[in-house]
Amino acid sequence: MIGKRLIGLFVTPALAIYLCFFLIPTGFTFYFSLFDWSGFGTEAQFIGFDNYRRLWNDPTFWLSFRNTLALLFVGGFFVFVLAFLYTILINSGIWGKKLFRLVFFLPNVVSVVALSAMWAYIYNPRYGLLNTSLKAVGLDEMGRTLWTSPDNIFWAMLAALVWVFTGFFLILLLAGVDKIPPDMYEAADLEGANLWHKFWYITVPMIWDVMTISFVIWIINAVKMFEFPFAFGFLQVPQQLYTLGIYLYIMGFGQRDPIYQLGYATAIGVVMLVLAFSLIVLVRRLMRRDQLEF
Amino acid sequence: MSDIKLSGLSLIATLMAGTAFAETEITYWSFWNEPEPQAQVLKALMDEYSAANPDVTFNVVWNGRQNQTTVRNALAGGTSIDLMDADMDGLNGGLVGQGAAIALDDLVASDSPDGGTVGEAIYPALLANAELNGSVGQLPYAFYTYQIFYNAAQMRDAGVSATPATWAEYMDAMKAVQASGVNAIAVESDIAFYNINWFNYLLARIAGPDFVLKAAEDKTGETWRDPAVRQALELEAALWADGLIPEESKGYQWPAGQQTLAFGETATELVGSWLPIELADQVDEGFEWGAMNFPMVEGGKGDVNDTIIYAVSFAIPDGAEDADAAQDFIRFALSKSAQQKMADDALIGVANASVEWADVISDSREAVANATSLLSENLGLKVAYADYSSNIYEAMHNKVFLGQISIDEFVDGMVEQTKGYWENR
Repeated sequence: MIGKRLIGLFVTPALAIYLCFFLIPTGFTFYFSLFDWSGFGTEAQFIGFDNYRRLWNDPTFWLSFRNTLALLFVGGFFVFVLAFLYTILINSGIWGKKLFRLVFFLPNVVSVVALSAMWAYIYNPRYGLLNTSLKAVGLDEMGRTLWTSPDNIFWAMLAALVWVFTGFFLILLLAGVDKIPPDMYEAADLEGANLWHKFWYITVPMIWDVMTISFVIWIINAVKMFEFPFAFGFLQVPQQLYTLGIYLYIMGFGQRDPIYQLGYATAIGVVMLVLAFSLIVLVRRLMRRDQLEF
Repeated sequence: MSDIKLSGLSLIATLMAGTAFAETEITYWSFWNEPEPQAQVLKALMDEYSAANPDVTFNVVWNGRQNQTTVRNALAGGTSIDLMDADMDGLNGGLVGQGAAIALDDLVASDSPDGGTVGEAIYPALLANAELNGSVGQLPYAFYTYQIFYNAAQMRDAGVSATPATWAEYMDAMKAVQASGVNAIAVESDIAFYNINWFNYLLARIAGPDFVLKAAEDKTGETWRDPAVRQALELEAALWADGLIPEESKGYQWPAGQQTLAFGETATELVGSWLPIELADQVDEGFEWGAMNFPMVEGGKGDVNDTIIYAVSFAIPDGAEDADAAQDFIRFALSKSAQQKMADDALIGVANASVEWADVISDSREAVANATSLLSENLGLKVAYADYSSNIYEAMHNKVFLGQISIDEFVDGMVEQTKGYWENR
């Protein structure tokens, strides 16, 4: 009985903070999404679910939604394939493990604006690093590609984004791998297992929980993705780079234009929340399995 | 009496005329970032004003371009702000348009320190743009013009001696530039609000400045099938087809396009009069800037002297505690001496019509002085239907301008999206 009271006592502050700073604001977010409100003054008109009806018929919303899904699935695929690949390589006993870890993680500590400026230089059609390098190795035709033209700019941004995020998830996966007892790999070596066998039959099962949490973090990051594509767009984000986060910002806060539809923007926020929540529940259900103890 | 003496006298008169305010702190939230020259001039003006009115001090927050959004949020949180500034169209669609700013009609009609009224000192066409629903809720103090800026030496070398007045002359001039071995026109592919000015100007010249608003307000969307739209798009497309805009510009991200002007590789760009200032550190010494009006399209209904502008205005939020003091400061900031300082030190166009502008943008002043009307961005669309302007008009145009969709697809898309916009509103 005392134990339960004590638990309640210790949990209450955390619950109160969660309630005040997360649950209540979330409730208000949904509440404001039912209003036509510019954010100037307190005058807001209750319009029920009209903002959601508008979203359903809004081509720019669906463009942003598609881009967000592309980012989530295509970007996520490459982020995790590369992160796993580097995990195998770095964990294979090569020289300079810490150095590689640092190099891969470095983009995460550099300002997003600086990173986007660097990628703008890399992609520049005239003197950019990418085209210059391609031409230098004889790939003249490919070296004339306009990577940031309207047709290519989303994929160009996505490639840069994969580069930024791979390091972060590599660190998470490596942290999980470091906890695996080395004798498992030694035993596998004695059995003649190759790199792939060790990865698939030892590493993956042993870091399953880390993978689950990594996928959850990626989902949250991808659904609310804003900073990098926004910075990549510099003065004015081209519509090809709109994500749900960017569209929310444009509609609620304007960028150069006095749009100021805060109620509508809030409805986009609610959709983002529902999308992230549903995907997280789905991933956690799909990846549920018995806890491994070692 | 010389201009300098007049300016000196007007400054003294301005300072002496300073209204007595008891211990006042004007809270000013600014559109500028502190290191910018415009902010430095405003700082100097505030110091000057405080020196003449020792009881008035300033509490400044330098927010930069998202100032209006920040002000909105602060006002909603109960913060008192006496004075703020933002771009004119933004204010007309935001703080002023939403009725959250006080009317400044009395200030406009009040005496200016230079003689006459405050309103009389401002370019009439500019003041007209500041009016919304019969009242002035903002006072512009600085502005930029959208024109075709060029490297005058390269134009001369190409044999272009006279300013092209018509589209045909303009195309000939650009072809001559191209033939001289320099790229004719720079564009930034990713900046839709730069590229849209080709379309805005062409439509304004062909069908008149009211056309875009009319087309957007047609709930069937069918106005977009007007032959003027197709003509404007075909003229734009010819710039690419004739090689006047290099194909690789489709991959330029700002500032890659304008840098080609600085490097002497391109001769012209349709852009705001901030360009000479932005490139000041990159161009060679003695670089000679020129700016021309967008040419007239033969047979069009528009006026070659109509110029699109981007203005910056002061506004006073409703409920400001020191609104009187803020108005007095605006009166001072619009005086000839203060405006001259802004023009000289920040190299920006100013609202006071009696002030000379810096040499690099002297052509812009001439355009403003001769303008029949000063047009707002996207010909009024940005104020009236900001979401349509940004999400449909600019976005669709950038696609057709950069060749991502055809002219037919653009026209059909605009009809469909305009119809959808009104059905969904």
